[in-house]
Amino acid sequence: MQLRSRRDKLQFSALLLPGILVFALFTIYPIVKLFGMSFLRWDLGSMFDKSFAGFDNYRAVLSDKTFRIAFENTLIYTFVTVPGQMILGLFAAVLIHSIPRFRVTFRVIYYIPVITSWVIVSLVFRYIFNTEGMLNYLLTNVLHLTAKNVAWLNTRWGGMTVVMLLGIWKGVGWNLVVFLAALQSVPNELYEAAEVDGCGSVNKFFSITLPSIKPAILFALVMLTIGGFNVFTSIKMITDGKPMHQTETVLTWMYYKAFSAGQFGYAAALSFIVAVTLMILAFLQFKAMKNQNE
Amino acid sequence: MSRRKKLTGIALHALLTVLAILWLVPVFWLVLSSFRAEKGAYTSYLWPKGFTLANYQRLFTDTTLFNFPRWFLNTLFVACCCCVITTILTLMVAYVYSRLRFPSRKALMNVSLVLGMFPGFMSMIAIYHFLKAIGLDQTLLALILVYSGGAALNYYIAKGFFDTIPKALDEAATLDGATKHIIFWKIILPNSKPIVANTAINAFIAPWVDFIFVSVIMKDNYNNYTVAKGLYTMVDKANIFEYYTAFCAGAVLISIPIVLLFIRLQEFYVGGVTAGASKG
Repeated sequence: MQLRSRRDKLQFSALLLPGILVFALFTIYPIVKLFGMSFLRWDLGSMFDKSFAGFDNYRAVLSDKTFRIAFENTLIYTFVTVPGQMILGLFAAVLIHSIPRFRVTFRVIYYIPVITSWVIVSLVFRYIFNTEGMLNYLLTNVLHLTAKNVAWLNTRWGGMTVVMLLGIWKGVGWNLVVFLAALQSVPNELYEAAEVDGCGSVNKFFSITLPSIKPAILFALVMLTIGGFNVFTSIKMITDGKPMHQTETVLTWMYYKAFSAGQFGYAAALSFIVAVTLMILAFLQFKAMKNQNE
Repeated sequence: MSRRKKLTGIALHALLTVLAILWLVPVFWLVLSSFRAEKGAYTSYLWPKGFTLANYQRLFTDTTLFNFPRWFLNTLFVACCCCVITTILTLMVAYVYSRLRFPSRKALMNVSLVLGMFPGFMSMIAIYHFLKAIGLDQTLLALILVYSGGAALNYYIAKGFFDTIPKALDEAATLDGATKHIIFWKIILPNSKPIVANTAINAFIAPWVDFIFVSVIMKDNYNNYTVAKGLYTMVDKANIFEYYTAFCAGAVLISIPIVLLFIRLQEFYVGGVTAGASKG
């Protein structure tokens, strides 16, 4: 629609302005401010001494061993939970797509974890996997598979595994919904034509289903990668970075540095390093998506 | 052939049912614990020895240490405000992006997209200092503003939806003398129920499930906690034995409205989620 008159312009501005204002205050301003903070020496002890620090904060983050562990953990979390959720979600979607009834019932059941609070499900998982928890009770006292309770959460990989299990468990329903809708939009004629050509069902899945739902797959990939980098609450509730900061992720480490240690400059620099990484990843995925659409 | 089809059908249903049960085990365990009569976080048996409603009653009567009713009302209040503000702001912006062609449109949209990808929680440090500077920290108003201000990625999904509504509708209304505001409220919104419902549900749910923002903003102001933060304080080391089952009851209570809302509005909700997937 062409811009017709001053009046049109004014009317559109009135619609646009409130949203832009809130966006500027709560998204743009904090990012600009954060960028400034990342170059300042801004510690709780020296609250009134916000002197220019150059790249000191960035150097401190990049040479910090714990940050490296946290970054590694975040990458591992993302690279495990994203494909995990997508494969299970697609699997469930294909199953549900091929049954005539109860589709909605199953969709609701798998979706319940998605809409349940992270705080609640994280704590439930903590009390299932705790040393005195439900799983150990089952393994030791009921099935007699282990002689004594295993401390699942007291090692880096044990803790990470439980958090990743939770991430996958909680996310499958969302993927299911996205993929189920995509499956329903694949034209039936494609399958019929393939059947005439003598394609088996496995063949049909890889040569028709997968290519047809590619936009949905890429959409899920981008959204879940962003989500993976944002993992926070589950770590905070289940391991709280223990043992010895071995299970920190970038966000929990940033939170610790900012709000427990009071090193705001360091935390701001950390934010930017992570944000840039995430943007590069997302940019690559968007590019892949664009190529697909052309 | 039909016999085989029938068997596959049964097998599929069986497989899906087993998976569904497996998926619901943690939820089931939570519900079970919320009715457990014995105290404590850990039991050396699966099935509770006694059942009681006392855990639920306790949430509303024993409010000296944990003021659950207050937290519940806080959350409800914040959720309702966010729901209205976010929906209106997001949809108005998305509508303009969809209809108006202005020189900086593409740039503005890309900026919102890239900045929207910037994890909202990371800007928390700056928001915290900002709220503190204007004296809004530890208030419910701050929560409402923060939840309503961080939904930039939603513009995209809503814009994709508005793009599918024919522009001829707008043009016809303009010829009849309608202003853009009237077109937006009277023509576009009534034709966009799925995206309205989707934006509204997401905005309504956010305050119930968020833990991060409320922790940073409220610090130790117990009275202004929302349920997620409040419930977490129930299971710290000092209180967990006494309050674990009450925590479970609270968790069940706040999950019920959200699940009901989802079941009731799921067609709209799912429509919104999948709009993003097909538009890309």
